[in-house]
Amino acid sequence: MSYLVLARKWRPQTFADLVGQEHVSRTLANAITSGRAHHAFLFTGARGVGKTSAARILAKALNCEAGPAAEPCNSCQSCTEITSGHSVDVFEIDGASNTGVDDVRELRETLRYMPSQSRYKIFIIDEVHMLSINAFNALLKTLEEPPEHVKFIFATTEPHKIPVTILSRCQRFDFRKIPSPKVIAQLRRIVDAEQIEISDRSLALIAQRGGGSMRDSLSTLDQVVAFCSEQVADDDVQGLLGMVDRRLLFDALEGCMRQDCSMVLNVVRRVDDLGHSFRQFCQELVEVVRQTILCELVSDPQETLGLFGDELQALASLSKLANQDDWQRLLSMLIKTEAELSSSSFPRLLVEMTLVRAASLPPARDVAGLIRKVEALEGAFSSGTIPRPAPKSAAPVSTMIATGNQVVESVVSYGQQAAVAPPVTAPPVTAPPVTAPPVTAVQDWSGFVQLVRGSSPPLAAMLEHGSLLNMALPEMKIGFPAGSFLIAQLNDPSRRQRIEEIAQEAYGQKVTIVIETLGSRNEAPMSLVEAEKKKESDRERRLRDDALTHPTVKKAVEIFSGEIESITPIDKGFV
Amino acid sequence: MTFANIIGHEQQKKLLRQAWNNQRMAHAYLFTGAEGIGKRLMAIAVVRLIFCEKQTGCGTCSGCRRIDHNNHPDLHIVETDGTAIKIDAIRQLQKELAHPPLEAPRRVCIIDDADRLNPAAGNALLKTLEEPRAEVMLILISAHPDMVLETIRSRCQQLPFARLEQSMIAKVLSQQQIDDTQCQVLAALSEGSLKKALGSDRDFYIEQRKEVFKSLSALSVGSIVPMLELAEKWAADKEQLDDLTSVLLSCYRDIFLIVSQGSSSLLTNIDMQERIRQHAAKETPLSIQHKLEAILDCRYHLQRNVNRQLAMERLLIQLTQGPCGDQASRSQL
Repeated sequence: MSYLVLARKWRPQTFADLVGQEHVSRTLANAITSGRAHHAFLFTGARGVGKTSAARILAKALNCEAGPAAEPCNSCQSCTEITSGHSVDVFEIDGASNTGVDDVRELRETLRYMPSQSRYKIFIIDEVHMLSINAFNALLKTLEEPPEHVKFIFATTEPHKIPVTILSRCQRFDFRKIPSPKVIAQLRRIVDAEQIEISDRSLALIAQRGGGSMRDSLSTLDQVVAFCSEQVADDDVQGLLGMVDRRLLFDALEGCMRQDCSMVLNVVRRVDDLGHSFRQFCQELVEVVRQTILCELVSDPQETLGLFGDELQALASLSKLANQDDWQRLLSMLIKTEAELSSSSFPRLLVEMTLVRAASLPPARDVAGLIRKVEALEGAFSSGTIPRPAPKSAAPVSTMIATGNQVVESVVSYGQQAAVAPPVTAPPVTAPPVTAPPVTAVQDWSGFVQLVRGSSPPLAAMLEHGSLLNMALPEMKIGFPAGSFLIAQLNDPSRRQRIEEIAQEAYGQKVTIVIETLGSRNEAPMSLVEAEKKKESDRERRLRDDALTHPTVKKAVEIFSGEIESITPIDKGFV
Repeated sequence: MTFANIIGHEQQKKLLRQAWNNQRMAHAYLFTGAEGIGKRLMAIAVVRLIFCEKQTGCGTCSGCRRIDHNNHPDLHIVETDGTAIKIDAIRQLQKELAHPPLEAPRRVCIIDDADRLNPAAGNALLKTLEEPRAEVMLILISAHPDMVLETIRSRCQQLPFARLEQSMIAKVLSQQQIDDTQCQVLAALSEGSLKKALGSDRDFYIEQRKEVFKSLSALSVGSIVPMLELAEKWAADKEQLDDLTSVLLSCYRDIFLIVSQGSSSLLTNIDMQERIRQHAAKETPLSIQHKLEAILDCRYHLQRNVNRQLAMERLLIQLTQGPCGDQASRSQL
């Protein structure tokens, strides 16, 4: 008797055995018990999750002599025949080998005969996605309204290849990948029954390799058992699965993060010498990096990541080598390489390149931090663009704020020295209505003009050309150059009255405006317009000086032995 | 061919032997690993072990001899027909596997290059592969297991084969009267494939390798005409382009290793170290990675039948760029 692989030996025979597909088995069982079983089923899902097994169990449940029952009895003639594949009323058809329309025609011929022994004639078509389009279409009418004694069960891994017209005539069941704990539990049941000694850790590795497929896991287990017979050691499992020693993986990652190229290259050589597949190596690196990233983020890493022993500690110390951004970047590089490795004939070179690149990249910067820095710079820059006077006027304010306490203190101490402590500080508070405004106004003719501009721009434009000769409230003397047209204009009573009103508002008392004619003498202060002009020319001269003395300009002149023809300010906003 | 005659793969031998001794031989195996490292030989050795009258693969009994002569009625070997294995071959196989074995205890089918199974053929094999009749055993062989259908892989016991170690290949080569340095270089260049190391293009590897690298390093950024001439010369020989690019790759990998401070024991072209070190002085880590990628790209394109001349010109332009070409590559990054 030849050996039967575990996957076949332990093929589920009841819905209860079907691991991880409770949603399917419950629906089917309920449908059968309530007598609402559909006539066409479509089972889809990844490889090795139980589609074909479920189809056979369903066939048994429908045809069971003790039923139709939610669970087949597995002891009646019908059940045993189906299990051994000899049943005359259950046809298991290989859809991938019988793909043509002729095969379907042949099948239809047999439909109309009643089942010979059982309740139903059941057609299980496996790998149904390989049927030709004609074959599918030939099935349509039959599938929509088959004879009462006929049931169809289709199974496939690729439901997207099946025409929608077929899909709409079937009850579709999507089989899920089996979660790792369930696979492990099932493996444990099997190894116990087979009397094989194996550790939980090894089973976890096997289940991980299976990738959610029971058959893959069992194939792997078979291989392990074939190698080690009844006593399985962890090391053997690791070696058989081609797993890379964790030490090597950690060394590779440490090399990357410590920017140590030669360390990384050495690891690659050791991996090659040990005969590991580089794809496997890369996949495991991805897994370790994933764990490294997650162990910082999840609250219970030991449980969530399924770690054993001191692995968590090792991961934690690894993750401290770099920040999360670095790990994320490494992860995406490795994932990209992993994909490339599948088709590359130079896997070693690819891995070397990726790891060396990872090892030579500078540490990643946090983007949010960078943005913050840029914003700070921008702020400094825009405040720097304000013409010089502004910072000067701003400076005292800031120092006042910063040293507010000291100012108060110094005032107090000054007061003590003068021996008239309270009054000195008091007057500024009480006096302002009378004295403060004139002080500012007298000194600030331009301020007054601004004030006028607020209520009457034309008047302000006129006043700009005048200069304040004397300010002795309630009289204000404004001078204009001899022969100015503006003298007549401002002597107009209504205008003069308007100015006087504004002045009264500003100074809090009645003000009389006197317009005077200036001689050619120079004793009068400059008018605002003149002042502006002078300032402008001052600025230009300063700019010119700056430009001429600038080292770059000097150098340029020297190199080209040239001359400076003109200097044009680019932007008036800058000084 | 017996286990003893196969070089290396000790673990795989042990596994198969154990499985045979424990009567735990699976009904379907998938042997994976690079080309030319002994997968098929191993499959034949397994068959001999099973078919041999003395159960040892003696090589003298009628069973073993008929395997060697490729006319054993219970051994079926499916190979590519043109570029693929087609469904007809599989249907034929299924018919034969449906009968019990004639002489041997089992019927064995070896499917070489299983990645070449076209989709129809691959799917047609699935049911057979999952539950063949009791005395049937299938051995699938593939150098590119990732291109084999997932559903096929899941039905087989996968047995990965590692590349042969350089020292082993060097040992085999040294038995063939080749001098020591050449042995080392060939062993390194063959990438663990004995088929490659013993192949007919050995001279190319030894002799022309130096010439290739010399003519390449003679080029400079400015010299367009010599570059185009070299490209034309290289592109003319279609058969050797693959070898040529792998030679380039090995040289540039050495430069890459030197630039990234790898130890010199990793180098392949140990006989050209001087020249390679000179070249390495001109490269930065980034520029050399860029060039390696260019060569890999070029190979990829050549496999897809691009205009050879254009591909070589593009490659040469990229290879002769100085490190100043970094700006472009940096902006790409």
